[in-house]
Amino acid sequence: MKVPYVIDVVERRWLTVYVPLFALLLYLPSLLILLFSFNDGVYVAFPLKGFTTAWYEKLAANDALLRAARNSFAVGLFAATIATIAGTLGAFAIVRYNLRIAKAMTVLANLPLLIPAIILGIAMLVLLRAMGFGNSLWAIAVGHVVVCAPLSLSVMLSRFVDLDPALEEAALDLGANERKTFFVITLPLSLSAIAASFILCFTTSFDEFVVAFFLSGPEQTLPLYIWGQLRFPTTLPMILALGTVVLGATLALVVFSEWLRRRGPKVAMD
Amino acid sequence: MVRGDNRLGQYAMLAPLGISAVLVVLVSLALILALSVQRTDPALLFTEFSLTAYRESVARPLFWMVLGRSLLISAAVTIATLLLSYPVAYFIAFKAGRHKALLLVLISAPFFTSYLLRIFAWKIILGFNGVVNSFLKTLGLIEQPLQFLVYNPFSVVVALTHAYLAFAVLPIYVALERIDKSLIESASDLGARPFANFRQITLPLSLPGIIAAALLIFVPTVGDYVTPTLVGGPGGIMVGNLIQSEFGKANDWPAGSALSMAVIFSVGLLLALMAGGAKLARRPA
Amino acid sequence: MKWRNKVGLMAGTLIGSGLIAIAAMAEDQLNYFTWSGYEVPDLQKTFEAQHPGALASTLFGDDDEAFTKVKAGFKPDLAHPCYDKLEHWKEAGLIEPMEKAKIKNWDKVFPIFRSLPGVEDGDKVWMVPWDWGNVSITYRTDLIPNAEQSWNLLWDPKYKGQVATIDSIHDTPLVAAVLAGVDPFNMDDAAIAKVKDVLVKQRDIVKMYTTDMTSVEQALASGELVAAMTWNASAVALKKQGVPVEYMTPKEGMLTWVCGYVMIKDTAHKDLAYDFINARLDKEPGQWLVENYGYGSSSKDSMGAVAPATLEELRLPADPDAMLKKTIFIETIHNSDKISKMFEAVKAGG
Repeated sequence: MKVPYVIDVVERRWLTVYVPLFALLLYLPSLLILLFSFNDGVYVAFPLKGFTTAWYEKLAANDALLRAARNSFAVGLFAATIATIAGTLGAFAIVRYNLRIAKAMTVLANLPLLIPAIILGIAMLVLLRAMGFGNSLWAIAVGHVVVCAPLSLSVMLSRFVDLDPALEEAALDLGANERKTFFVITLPLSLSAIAASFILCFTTSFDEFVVAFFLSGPEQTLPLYIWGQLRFPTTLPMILALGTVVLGATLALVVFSEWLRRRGPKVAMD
Repeated sequence: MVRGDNRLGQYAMLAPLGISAVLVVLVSLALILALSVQRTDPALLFTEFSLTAYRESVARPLFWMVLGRSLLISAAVTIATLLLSYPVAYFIAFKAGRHKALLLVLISAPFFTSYLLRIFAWKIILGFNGVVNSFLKTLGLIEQPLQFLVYNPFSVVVALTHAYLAFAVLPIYVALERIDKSLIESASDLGARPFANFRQITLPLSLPGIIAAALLIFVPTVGDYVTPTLVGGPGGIMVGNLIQSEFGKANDWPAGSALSMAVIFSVGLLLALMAGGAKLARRPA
Repeated sequence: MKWRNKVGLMAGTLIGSGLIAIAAMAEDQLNYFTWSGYEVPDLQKTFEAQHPGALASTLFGDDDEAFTKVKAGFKPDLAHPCYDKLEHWKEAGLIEPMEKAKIKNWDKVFPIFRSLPGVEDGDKVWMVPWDWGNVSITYRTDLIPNAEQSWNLLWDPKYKGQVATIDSIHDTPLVAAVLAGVDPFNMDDAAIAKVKDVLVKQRDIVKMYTTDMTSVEQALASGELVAAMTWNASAVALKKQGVPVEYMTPKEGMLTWVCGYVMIKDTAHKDLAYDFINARLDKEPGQWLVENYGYGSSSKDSMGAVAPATLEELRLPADPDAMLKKTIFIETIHNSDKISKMFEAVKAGG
């Protein structure tokens, strides 16, 4: 029997129009970045001046920019992974167990969102120095875990709040211990939330630069590099080329994995 | 059924979160609280107790005006982002079937280019010779380019809204995805028309996701200073810029800390009031 | 399910950690904290030859940010702030003076920079000036024909919304002070109030307060801006792209800035630091600076090595002594904190 979501005929049409428009809005800046990365002119303004791949060649030769991009990826992967783990475990403990400090914990764990980044940056620099660590990429990674943890917590909390404990209880009744239940029942049912948390954390870390500035040593992250290059107008098109490459690589990855999925064995999806 | 009494294990699950977020938060708050009640002295950080920082920086009409402006901008960004993103999250949760993951990644992909690059792109879109102006000119609707699209609060709202779209889609999607479809089905069986069905079943059930999204968007945007610096113009300065300049140019850390405490307190109060208001609203009539 | 998740998580962390570990800094390096763009290999050929791999540069985009970071605890070996901030660094106890005797190229620096107040201190030196440049107005000659050669152009209501000015305390407020008729470097409260009035008048005219020269040059190229306060390199770059601009010589005088090296207190790498500074004062780095970034070098040899035609195009004299008699040199700004707050208030609308 047809399940009548809100989408009936009229709304189905409306959404079919809206979603592509949304996608256009979403990708508009990226399309412009793509466009101007091939523009034969230093200034990113209309009218266009002609086609060139010079910026990409300059990009390939620019060690500092490529290193900064690589650093941002590494830091992002690390921060997203650790923050997601921390958020998942924490959210689960808060929702499922009646721990007394749970409420206080939730509030405190969300505070990094509230505290201006410059304060977080200075405080973490002071803290790390006091513990004997120096400025480095590791410091930035740790800093980004702190910045991203509230994001992960938020997403995972909203997921676990909705998760019916009956499934876990059934497993426990059937003899599984708690750890097994967590890994075999809870986590698989929360995969989309975990993925969402990971993506959000990675995106945040990739763009974050205030905390990164205070914790950075000789190795820069991409936003720091770009911010520092704003005094040099001639480098902007090369950075646009980098942005296009990153976007292109992401989309290529997506298309490739979709192709893999279609070729793979048919699995029942939830 | 009793969950194990493995209290130690349970607390251990909180540990990673505790160490990272709580420790740093407590240190940060302690630091700015301590700094905010210091007399300004370029040579030393901690000299003597004094409330000058609060008196001179927080008790100024300028600060409250800028804070008010920041809160309005953040509210506008939050509302715009939620409105724009909800239908898409809905679409992915209910209509996308096997393509859910693909669509989610496609939604997130544009945000893997640097935010700074995207702001430059918005300057091209909204700017003098930009996309919007060229478009309107070719349509013959305007002769001179519109100058009011960028370097003002409007462009700040646009840039921030765009930047946070993924931050709304993902949490709302997570909440929507788990709604038990049978609830919607039964409501329909009982005669509810689709929109009423949505309003009374789906929307309330997706509320945790909406609230999570709203918090993730509203709170950080209040303190943002990068966007106003790049596209805000003189009229778009937000409270983050004030704090930034106290720590940087004005070399007045106590003032910066006092401003930060005031911002944290105000936003926290606002959130608490809204949470309280929501609780009241949910009480049965 | 379980093992797949675990593997995924492990993989993510390992990849991340691995990449970060690769990027970790080795010990025994000179940490040079400087402007983005000053760390390029072309500027350290001599030093690289002497001490391969010994240079690690941490970058900043603004010396106010740099000061905040060092004050918060970051400890490089050398930093590269500008002269007007020297007193701040000294007062905060962040730097120590250097031995003049160890800077063998000290005499190559133009006398006018060596003799700046606060730089030399007996046989010690607080800052080694290295680069300098001018601040003036770049304007479109086709959109403003016969422009009056004065800073007042940035206050002209005719160009409302088409003008930009630099968002920093050692530029715009100084010009405003000059126009208000007060001494920019010794302002008391009454003077600050006067300057505030001048700045408030400008706020309605200005489209943006910025240090983002990328956007400014773009806007000048497209005509969105007709005039902007910029450094000398911008006018040259725009001319190269065929945009009809001119770099003004205002009757009140251009502003001139100078920046240089300071040694952070208790650094462990003093010898490396002296080698670095001496290498930078050689002819080639300064020459590269002029030819590539359009800024002036503090070294006589470097300026002498640049072709006169290039200097002419950049509006730089071979001898800053002559020029600096006609410009407003950016020296220590007293009460800078109060002026900062005033400027922020004006920008924010109060």
